[in-house]
Order: sequence, then C-alpha cells, then structure tokens
Amino acid sequence: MFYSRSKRAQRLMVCLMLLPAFALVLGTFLAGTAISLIQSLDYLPFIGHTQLSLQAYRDILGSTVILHGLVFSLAVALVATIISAMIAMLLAHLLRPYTNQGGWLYFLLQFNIPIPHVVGAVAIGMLFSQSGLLARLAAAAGMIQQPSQFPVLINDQYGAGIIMEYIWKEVPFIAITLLSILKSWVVPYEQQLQLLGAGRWQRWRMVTLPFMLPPLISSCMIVFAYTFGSFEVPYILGSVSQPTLPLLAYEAYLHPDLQRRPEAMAINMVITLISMILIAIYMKWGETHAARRS
Amino acid sequence: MRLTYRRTIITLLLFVIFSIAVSCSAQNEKQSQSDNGASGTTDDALLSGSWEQVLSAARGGTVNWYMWGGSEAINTFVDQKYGSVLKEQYGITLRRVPVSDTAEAVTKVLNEKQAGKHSNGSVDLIWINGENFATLKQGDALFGPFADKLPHSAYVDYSNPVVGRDFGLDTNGYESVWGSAQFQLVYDADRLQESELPRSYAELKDWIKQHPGRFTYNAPPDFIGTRFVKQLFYELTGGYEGWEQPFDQAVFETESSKVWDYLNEIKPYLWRNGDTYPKSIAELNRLFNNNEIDFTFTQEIGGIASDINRGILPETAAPYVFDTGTIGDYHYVAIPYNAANKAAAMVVANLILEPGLQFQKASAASGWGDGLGIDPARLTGDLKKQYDEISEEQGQTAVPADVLLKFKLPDLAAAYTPALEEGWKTHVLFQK
Repeated sequence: MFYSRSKRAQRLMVCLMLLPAFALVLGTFLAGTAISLIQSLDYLPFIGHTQLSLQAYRDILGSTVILHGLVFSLAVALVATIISAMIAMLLAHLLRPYTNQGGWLYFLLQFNIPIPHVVGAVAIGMLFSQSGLLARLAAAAGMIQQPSQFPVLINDQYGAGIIMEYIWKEVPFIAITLLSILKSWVVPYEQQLQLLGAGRWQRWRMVTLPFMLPPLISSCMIVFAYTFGSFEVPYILGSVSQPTLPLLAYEAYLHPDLQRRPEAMAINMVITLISMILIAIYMKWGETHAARRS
Repeated sequence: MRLTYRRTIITLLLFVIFSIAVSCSAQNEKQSQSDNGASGTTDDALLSGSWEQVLSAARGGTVNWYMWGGSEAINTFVDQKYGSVLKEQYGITLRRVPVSDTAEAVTKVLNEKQAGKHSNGSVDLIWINGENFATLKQGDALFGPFADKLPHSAYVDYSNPVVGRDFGLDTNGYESVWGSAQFQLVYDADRLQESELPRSYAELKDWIKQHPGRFTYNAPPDFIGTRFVKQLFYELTGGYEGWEQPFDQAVFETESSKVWDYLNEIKPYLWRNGDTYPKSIAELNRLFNNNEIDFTFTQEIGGIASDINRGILPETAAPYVFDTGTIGDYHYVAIPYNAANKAAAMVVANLILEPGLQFQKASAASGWGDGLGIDPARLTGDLKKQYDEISEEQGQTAVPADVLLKFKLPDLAAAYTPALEEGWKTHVLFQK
C-alpha cells in the first residue's frame, strides 16, 4: 500500500510518515520558542508576574555588555566560517584526484564528524593552553623558557581558541559537501570545456566554481548559524571578559534572582531571530537557485 | 474502490498505533500513581508521623540527588559510602545527578512547577546553598519543615544562628545541614616562605604589585570567587557587623566602590594582566599546579590532603587564613515540594548526619575534608573520642580547627551576593 498509484494517496502517506518526526522537531521547537517569547515579555506567573512588558528588551538593547557580546558572537562565527570554507575548498581540490580510490579518504575526512563539540573543545584546550601539551613540548625543546610564555590561544581576548575548534570541526563537513559535487556533477562539463579548448583557470571559473558555490554557501550558512548560537565551545575555550551571546543568556538564566529570567529569554529571542533571518535568506536563495538549475 | 479499501486500512492502522500509544502513557501514569499509593503516605503524614513510617514509605524508593559535580573526591564519597549503606540498610537507590551549578537543579524544579507538575518531580534532593535556597523560597517550591523530624538532627545545633540562618535567611527546617566550609588560601611551601605570606587584603595588594602576573582569583559568580570579593568588601568597609541590616542599595553603592577601586588597582598586576580570570576553582588549581600563579583557594575545613593525594595540588601545598578573617558557613540539603520520593530523601538527609559518616567525610583519607555539620559538643562517649582523634591527624595539610574558628566570619544576607557579582562584572571585569 506504500506504492499506491494515486498521487493523493501517495502524498497523504508521505505526510503521515513525516508527521512523527515533524511533531517532535517542530513541536518542541515551537513550544520552546513560545515559552521563551512569553517569558521574555515578563510573564512569570510562578513569581506573580502576569503583566506583559518590553522592559527586558529595553534592558538588553541598552546594555553595552550585551551589544558587545552580540558583535563578538557575530565576528567569531563569521571568521570561523570564512576560514573553514577557504580551507575546505583547498582541501576538496587537493583531494579530488584521489576520490576514486576507495572509502578510506572519506573515512579520514569524516572521522571527526560524530565527535561532539565539547570533546573537541576540551582537546583543543589540552593542546593549546599555556599548561597544555604544545606549551610543555615547546618548553622542553627549549623554544621557550616556561610553558607560560607560550602564546595565549585559549581563554584569549580574540576568541582564537573558539575559532580553532570550529575550524577543526567544520572543515571536514564543508569539504565533504564540496567533494560530492566535484566528484560527479562537474566532470562532464569540465571535459566538455576542455574539448573546447578552455584552460585550467577558465574551466575553474566557468564551471567548477559555479557548481561548487551553492553547496558551499548553504553549508557555510549552516556552519554560521550553528557557531553563532552555540554555547559549549565558548564556555570552555572563551574568556570570561569576552562572553558570547549564548553565554550571557545562560548566565542570566541561572541568576538566583528569578526577576532576571525575562532578560535571558530576551537574549534567546535575539539569537533565534538572527538564526531565522539566516534561514529565510537560505530558503529564498535556495529556491531561486533550484529554479535556475532545472 | 481499491483506494477506499487502502484508506480504511491506513486509518485503522493509525488508529491502532494511536490507541497503543495512548494506553501506554495511561499505563505509565497509573503505574506512577500506584507507586505513590503503595507508599500510602502523604506529605503531611511524613512531617507529622513517626520515623518508622518514613522508613517504611522510603523502602524501595530512588533518590535523585542533584549536586555540584566538580569534585572527584566528593563524587566518589557520595557514590561509595552513602550509596551502599542506603541500598543495604534502607533499600533505597541513590542516584547522584551532577550539575555544574546548583542553579540548574533549582531551574529544573521551577520549570516543573511552571508546567504544572506538582507531584512526581524529577528532583528529590538538592545540595544547596543560601543563594539558591532563597530562589526556591521565592518560587515557593520547597518541602518542609522536615529538618527537625530527622532523628540525627539531635546532633545539630540549629539554635546557633550560623547554622539556623543561611546567607541571612532563616532556614526554618526547610533545609537540613550536611557540612561546613571555610575559605582558606593555599600556597606552595616550596615557592614561598611562611613569613612572606600576605595576612590581609591590604598586604595582599602589596604582594601582588611586587609579584606581577603571579596572582589571580576565580571570577564571580563562581561561589569561591564571589567569596574572595565578599571578604574584601568586609575588610574595606569596616567588617561584616555593619552589613547585618537589610540590603540598602544607596549605602551599598558608595561603600562597594572601594572594593572596585582595590580590584582595579591590582588588575594590571594579575595573571594575564586581568584581561581574563579563571572560571572555576578547578581552573585556578590547574594554574597553581602548573606554577603559573602562587595562590589558590580551598573551602575544605579538613584540609587539602585529599586534593594532594589526587595530584590536583602539589605535595608541598599548605592552606592558611588571613588574620582579618575569612568567611565560613554551613551547607545543606533541601527537598523540592514536588519530589517523587520525599520519604527516601528524608532518609538520605538523616543518614548524612550520622556521626560516623560525618567523621569519614571530614577525614582526608576516606572523605574529602569537609567540615562537620553536626556539633562536636553534642557528642558523647566513643563518638567524642573518635572526634578528638580525627582533629589530631591532619598536620600541615589543614589549618587547625581552633585557628579557623578564631578567624571565621559569617556570610552576608542573600541580597548582597548578586549585588556584588553584578558590581564586579560592571566595575571590574568589563572595565577597560
């Protein structure tokens, strides 16, 4: 019955099959967002607040710390995304000739994808901090006198540690997306162009890049949205004097005074809003791209 | 025709799936209701009935104990010592749930209250301090008063204001004592002579300026970091006595500015020029152990032997206190109003006051050096003798109990804690 010939029955079946997953994903997301929204408007009946107000939003928009956190979060996410994309592009091109030599390459590329960000963050910390492995090796090798002379890369003011972790984690993700395009889709077009006498650079500019761009941009958008909203990596590798937006939300949420709850929720709503805008751009762009392709 | 046939089948199948799902969840509910019913004891009965009733209601229960999980020594002690006794003697399963901040457990209880889950809550017991106790009181989400119903509360002196009040808030039996702690500084006898140790915040400032980059403190709102700032607040504003009245914003602002001036003055001489601070005591210990800084802190009255044995601190580390005093306090456990296993939680709260287990907890060899929650003056006979033996054992790894007591300062009313934490952030951390 899953192969009914009727279009309507098929459509109904697909909808029904998607329903459980949808209910879970969309249901929890919508419920969570709705609760955040009403709490951000100071609706907290369990401590007797039932009057809606926009005070929390006024507070966070007037706070230099929070605005600074917003800018810092955006900057870290942007830098991490751009560097990851560039390295991934380079990697994809370098590895392209070897893609037909079996699964080992993909295995190597993918090995870190199931590793959680927290584990990555702790590992980066153990490697690069001033009491970390590299600092000790450098001191032992006589390059620096003490481990504490090692450059400050973890808990630093520029988010270097955070960015390193994101790059480590996201490069393989983007590279794999690119490789799948480079492996199959592009090849016939490139050969065509080569027959017509196009040079290497011309082929890259006229075929390879345009084919690579859509998966590159969409994976970059996913990476950006994730890094912007992520909590655990800046929590472990960031500096207390350079908090990202999710860290500020977490702090306000755990504040012993429940009156601060709306502030945490208002920060969450800002994060959600920015992510939603990204999704909207992505979907709009995805549609036009799909239309162009077909 | 065939199409309608298929649709009927689909609808039927879905109906079956749905009804299974619904009946499953109904079953669960019935199950948990009967769990409650089997114990047959309401909250009021637990508070007014005999201890035997509590014990029989507790049998077979599971206690989800939410506690700060940042210390391996504490985790091991709770799992091994309490867990096995509870299982063997009372038929209770102890499930320790580690949190990085007690506020996470508090938030969980309040979220359940908000969602209307007024019974069968997921938190049975919380290791709590005054700040979070105040939050749960604000949200009216505690079970009690139960503390004086516990047989072992006979060993506790609740009439002592330091025990009966937590951060200036009357406990009123809504939390039960577990242990005590006092802020101490830790130095390395290999690196520093006892004679050159700073003995007050005033001396500390000079020391820091003479040794740039060798000192830092963990950032509030970390508990111990806040305490470091709070003691400074005492010293610069003429002691704790002036701050026992209710919180006054205006007075606080003028007086606390001295604290921010002090901290900003030492900032350029701190580790990494005060650009950043360690987030936790574990991080501070790591810097100390790696010879990046010369001081770390501890809260354990029984000393740091357990941390030394675990390699967290060097063997030559030793604790001491300022002559101007350091803050000491008691820590407690509380039961949420909607806990699923209140009776079992009460049994746990009672067990952890048992003198034998209190001694083991206080010893660095078997426990983690936590201070006693019970009052040694109330011990008699054999217990008294055991206590005296333990007090003599500690040596260099602990500050003698009488010295600690001599320099012990009480904590401030709960409202000062967030005020100091906020002030530190705006006036020190984000002050460029």
